[in-house]
Amino acid sequence: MDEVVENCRRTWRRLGVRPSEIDAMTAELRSDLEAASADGLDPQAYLGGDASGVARAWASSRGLVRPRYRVFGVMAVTFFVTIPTLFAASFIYVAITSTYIADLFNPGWDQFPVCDGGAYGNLHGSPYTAVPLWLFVLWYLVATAAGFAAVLLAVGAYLRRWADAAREKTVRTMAFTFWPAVVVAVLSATAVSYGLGGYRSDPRGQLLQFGALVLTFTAMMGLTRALVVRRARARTEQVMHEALVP
Amino acid sequence: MVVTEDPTSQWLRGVLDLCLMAVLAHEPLYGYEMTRHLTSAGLSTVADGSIYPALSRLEKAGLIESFTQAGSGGPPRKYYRLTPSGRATLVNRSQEWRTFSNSIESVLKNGMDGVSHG
Repeated sequence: MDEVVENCRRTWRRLGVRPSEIDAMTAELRSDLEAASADGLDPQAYLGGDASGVARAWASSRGLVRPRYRVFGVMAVTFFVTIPTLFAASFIYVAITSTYIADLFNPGWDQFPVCDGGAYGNLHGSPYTAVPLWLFVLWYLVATAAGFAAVLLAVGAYLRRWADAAREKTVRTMAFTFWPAVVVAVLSATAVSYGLGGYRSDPRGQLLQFGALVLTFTAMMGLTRALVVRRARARTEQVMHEALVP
Repeated sequence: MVVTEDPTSQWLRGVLDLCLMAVLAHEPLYGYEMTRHLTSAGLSTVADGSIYPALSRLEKAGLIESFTQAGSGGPPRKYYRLTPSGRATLVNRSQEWRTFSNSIESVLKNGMDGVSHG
């Protein structure tokens, strides 16, 4: 019986139910489980084998599940999803600018050496300029779409784990704020580049530019979450107030 | 559609609130007593803890109210009883349920007649 009760209490704590409410529900549940045990019933079976599910439904029906901020959790998830997404995007970028792809779209791009003050260059200068523009645009679109799906899925999964009351609203809102957040993050990285005197490819420059991109994007997602929870909490308080005040 | 699971729990979900109000019509009861009443009436699927969210809903709606009373030798228990509004709702909903179940019964009877004559 203690195990069933503790399972419920753990669920309530995870949902952010106030300690006084947890104690009230625990007292009611324990006294009923004792009565059921006295009749020879298994406590686990009395709750249909899903104590956690009952606890969640119970707290929810009492209007006790207040959305918790978990802003830093959402920011951490976003951060750790954005980093590998950027790495994957960089990998595709390197692949696109390979000589193989350049040959595929513009055969012979490096077959016309020209004399440039005694040094040999080539007609187009690099595989980068031999690859058509639409392929770069497609790459940007695919990378952004992959990032979009990955961030929303990861945040949704994280909030589901915590049975978050504002999960759906958060994911829906993030689907809208994702795009302005990307724009602001790119502007922030551009501003850092500008501050460094132009785009820098050395490790320190890369770290600062990509760091600005990731951190700004993460902060924007955190801000979105904070605003969603703030609104959801206000709504919950209003519903609870209306339920208590006739 | 292939119906493979026991449908009674699904049917009960729609009328659990009404059943809980009905068992409270005679006397105040605590959670487990209500489960026992419903189980002995043949509604064994109620023993899945679903009464607790249902009781909260009813209490929030003002159809039942709770109070704590010391048990015989045991710890204080939380009892529930119908409010006047709950009694009125029980009467109305019971009539609506009878009309509804008669309609279903009529449809099913026609169906069974078709099966036996087909």
